[in-house]
Amino acid sequence: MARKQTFKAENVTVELDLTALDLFRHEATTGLLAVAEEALARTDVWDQPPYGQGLIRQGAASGWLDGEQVGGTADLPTGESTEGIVAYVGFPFPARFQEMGTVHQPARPRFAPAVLWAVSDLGAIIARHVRMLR
Amino acid sequence: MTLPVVNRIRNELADDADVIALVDDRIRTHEPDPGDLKGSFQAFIVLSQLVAPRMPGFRKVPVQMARITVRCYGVTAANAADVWGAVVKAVHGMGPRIHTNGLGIFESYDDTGGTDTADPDTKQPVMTGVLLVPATTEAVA
Repeated sequence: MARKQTFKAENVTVELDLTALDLFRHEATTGLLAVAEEALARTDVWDQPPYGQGLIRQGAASGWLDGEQVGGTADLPTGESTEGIVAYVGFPFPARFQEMGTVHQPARPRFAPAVLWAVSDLGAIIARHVRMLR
Repeated sequence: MTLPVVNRIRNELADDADVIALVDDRIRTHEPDPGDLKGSFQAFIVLSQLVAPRMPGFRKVPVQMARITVRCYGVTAANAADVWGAVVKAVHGMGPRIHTNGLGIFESYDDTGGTDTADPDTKQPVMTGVLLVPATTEAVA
């Protein structure tokens, strides 16, 4: 059913059909999730098999629109919001220690460069998912 | 050659009185000095450059958006937080400056806030965060 919003003034009533706007927002969320998944794909994961038997295997991403999950498999990070158009991407514990280092090992940043590289293509990736922009 | 940012940030912290009062000269780049880990916990800082891409959308412009990860180790969790606070005070919102090697820093920011954790190897309290430092890639006058 079409979602409508009604505005009333003294002698005028305007009924706005929000169907197209809802579709745009849904597609934009899917596009943002695609950016997050691109960051995952571009990350050279630490201890990838068959070179090691480390704990970090794979990351995950998820996309959210106004509190509802649109796609992806990542759990919502603790304390984070899902209002509006949001995507989360990351790797599980103990990836942060590989990325940022410890007293006994240097930082090995692989996720941050991949995220920034994906974000630099953000407009093009989202445009592929939004029909209105094609 | 692109001028590295992390060394200049290290020098700025080494010149800050509040930072020195907490960590003395134990401000490292890349990894701790072996002496930092001997005996009981002591406060020190480790800086690493996470990434420094060129300016998004304008790759030919000689500007790098450096992100520097800062690990502030402390004797206690409160001490680690104090070290992080001193680092932020020293660099956050600091305006344009040019270093002796010609590196120009437009402004530096605390990009993430501090995250309270413990080193997985030694259990020493550490507060980690990331600085965003837009800077030139080439020497400027």
